[in-house]
Amino acid sequence: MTIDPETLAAYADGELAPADAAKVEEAIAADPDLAKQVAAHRALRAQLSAHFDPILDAPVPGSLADLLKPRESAQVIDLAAVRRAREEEQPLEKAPRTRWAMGGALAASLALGLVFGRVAVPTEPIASHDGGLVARGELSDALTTQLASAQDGKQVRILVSFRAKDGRYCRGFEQGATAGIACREDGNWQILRTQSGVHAGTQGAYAQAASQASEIMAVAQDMATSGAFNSTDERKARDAGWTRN
Amino acid sequence: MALLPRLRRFAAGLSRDLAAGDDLCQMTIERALKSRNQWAEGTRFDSWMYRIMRNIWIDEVRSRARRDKTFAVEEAGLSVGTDGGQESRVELFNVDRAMARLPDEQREAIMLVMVEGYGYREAADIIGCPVGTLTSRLVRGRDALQVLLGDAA
Repeated sequence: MTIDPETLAAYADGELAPADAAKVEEAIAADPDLAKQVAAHRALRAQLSAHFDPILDAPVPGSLADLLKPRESAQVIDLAAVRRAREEEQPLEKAPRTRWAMGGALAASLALGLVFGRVAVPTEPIASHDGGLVARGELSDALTTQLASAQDGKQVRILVSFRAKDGRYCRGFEQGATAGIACREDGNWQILRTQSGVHAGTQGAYAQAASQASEIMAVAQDMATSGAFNSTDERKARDAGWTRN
Repeated sequence: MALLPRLRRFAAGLSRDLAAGDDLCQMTIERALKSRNQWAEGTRFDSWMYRIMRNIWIDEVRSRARRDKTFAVEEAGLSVGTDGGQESRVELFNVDRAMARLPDEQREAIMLVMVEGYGYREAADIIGCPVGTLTSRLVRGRDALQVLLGDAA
């Protein structure tokens, strides 16, 4: 059997199906020259890696890294701090309605309003549940039903859907000035991370949103077992109710 | 972003030197941020970025390289891998020169598969060519490199 160079390269790169690879291995066993070619191919691969890989460890020039940094007005929300703020807010509501208490409650809700931007109106999209934060209302509905491929004119934008390494289905989303990642757990969408930008003029808001979404995508990329779902996989996962199997 | 060093590596390979590669990286990121909405269809994010980079490289950098070709080729050389001795420096320079001599379509095939570690299918998707075309470019590029690099490969 003759092995053409393309097949031999594919063998050396681990690209052949097991049955074809077995045939190539037979041919190699019978022909030392083929074995030499495979070794040469792999040696070249190693040489190229050795040559280019140092770039991976080299410091990235600041001008490039800066492009991806969230602008200063953006805030990555510390979820624990948000919860603390909510817990502190509750006693205030029960306190006698003095001017002072009103002021305190107002300040607290203003702070939360800033954090969640215009998402907080009209239905609160994120609520406390079992010590965590879960999506509610429109956000929850969108996470459950909306496909990334069909969302023209929707309030909530799904950025990406994927399967996390822990087996949960997760989705990156954007609503108003807030972007985040939610994962399906016990019939709820748990909010793992949110990020919010303050609108500062059209130009600023646009750049802001862009850098937020790219951060969320980078986080999603790190969390996912194997990249983002294509529209078929996404539809399948939705139709199965986002349940693990 | 974790992808950035990989983008730099690919850019350096495509544009034959690190500084030109960083310019390419910058344009890629800017374009990706602008057209981020087009990614939501659910594909691999890294492949999408590589595809953007490749398109920009073809459109802009390559035409610029043609304008000042003699200069670019003579100056080609990555200034990384500083902890090597004299011998490995010579060898490093040779890899750059050998890569720079490859036709562009062979160089990108070599970069995607043998350096970036993409499978044939994914690499062909990024380039937008059939797998068979990718494989034959890969083999021709590899054979040329082995000749250029002599016994080192």
